Amino acid sequence: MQRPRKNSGSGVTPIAALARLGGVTFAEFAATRLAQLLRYAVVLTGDRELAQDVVQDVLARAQVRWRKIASADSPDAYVRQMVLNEYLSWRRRWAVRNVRAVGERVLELSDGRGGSRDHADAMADADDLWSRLATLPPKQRAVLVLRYYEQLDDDEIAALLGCARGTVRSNASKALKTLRLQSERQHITVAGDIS
Amino acid sequence: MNDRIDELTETFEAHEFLAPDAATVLERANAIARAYCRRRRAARATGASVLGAGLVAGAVTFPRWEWHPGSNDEVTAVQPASGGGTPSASATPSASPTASAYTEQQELNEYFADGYDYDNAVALASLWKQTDIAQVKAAAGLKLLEGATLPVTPNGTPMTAAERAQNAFFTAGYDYDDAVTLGTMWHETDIGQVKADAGQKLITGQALPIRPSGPALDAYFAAGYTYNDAVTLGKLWNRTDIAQVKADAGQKVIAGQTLPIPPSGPTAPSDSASSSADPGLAAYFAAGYNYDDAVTLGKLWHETDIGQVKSEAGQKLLAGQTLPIAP
Repeated sequence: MQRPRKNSGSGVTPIAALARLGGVTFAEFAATRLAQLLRYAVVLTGDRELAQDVVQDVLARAQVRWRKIASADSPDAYVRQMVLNEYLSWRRRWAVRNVRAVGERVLELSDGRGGSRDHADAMADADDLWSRLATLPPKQRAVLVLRYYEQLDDDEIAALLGCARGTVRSNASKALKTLRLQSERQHITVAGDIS
Repeated sequence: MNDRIDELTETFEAHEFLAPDAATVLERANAIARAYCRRRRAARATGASVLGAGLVAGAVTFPRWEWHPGSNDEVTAVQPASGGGTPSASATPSASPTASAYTEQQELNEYFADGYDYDNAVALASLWKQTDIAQVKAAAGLKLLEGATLPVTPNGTPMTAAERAQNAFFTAGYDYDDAVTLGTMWHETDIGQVKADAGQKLITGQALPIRPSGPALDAYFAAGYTYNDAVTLGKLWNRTDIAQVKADAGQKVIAGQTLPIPPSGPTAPSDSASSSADPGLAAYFAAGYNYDDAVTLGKLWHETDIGQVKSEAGQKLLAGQTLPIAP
């Protein structure tokens, strides 16, 4: 089932939503888009504090140069790209590594349960997967978020990340393998081929 | 397979609730933006007019941990790939976290003070095969501080000692009003001389008798108060120095005290509510510290709850204590 894109608003195409943002003031942008931007940031970073810091720094810079951003084709996309860039930037690498180390500790704790995951408990599964996501390198995590949360296709993700489509696919593949999602898919595929 | 992928999507959506409070984020973004503008004005006043908002912010706020190949201030198609842009050791100066005893601000100060400008940084970036002009300037400044020479000739004239002192004064967060206050204390009417003397003290590691009013003003405006509010407060407090009234009122806001009049600014109600909820947190951000600083402090204090670190650090600031790292 094709899920709706997160950055378009309910029932509004991305282009229409972005066109409506033309000429908006910073205050109007913040009033209408900030909550969604924060949800995107927390999913992207995996950490509430880091998401807050990333967005507030981005908004501060956006505010200073709002005239330029407002004149862009899509101020919303511009700011979302700033959030993505900030998350992937050198300034954040150390902090992200630190946060990831915490995630790894959480993962170790969950692995210590002996692998007896309760599949009936959806929330526990989500928390477990959330912990595993915290172990991914930022770029791999970003690819998964853009693909499976933002519902963007690989070409769009490649344009956002400034890399080739193949790099996107490679990052996604590595990430899924780390998360033990792809390995299971491959296992199922192989088993299907044999039968 | 789709079930597994759906599980990923559902996991993302299941954690949207972790999103921070929008009013708090907007309040802090506004305060940071005002600080950017102040620093840009200070940079222009001292000849560093080519600094962009992001660079000023990065220069003042962010620690320099490692070389970075791309800027995140401008949205471009080029992204800093993880580890992809690391320069060779022989071609570029070292920029590891522990390699320098200087802050990035000091490095940039030195770069501009020696007469180098943006075009020089572009030339250096080409020589060093780098793309991030901001970091090139910092790395070049580090080399200058360490007594090395750069492979390009500065386009500008090196700053005089007085100009360097003024630069130090402004980049420490002080402004003209602070200089007036210091001039009154030192019985010096030449404000330019006051700034030079104060800056020289800062360069030599001496403390000034007053704190920079920048954070207090940030807190004042972030709480939604305006110039007209300061005039009203001045009448209530029998004060005619409106600049000082704003600074004093801002200090009260940081300390979590309630001013005798409500703010008349448009963002006042929700903004002031969140800052008054945790004065320590408000003081932390008003002093120019950010998340990265909290992470550093957390490591120093062996505290993993970054929110708690920020709050405790802010409480220390409110108590007049100095934190072990600069903002």
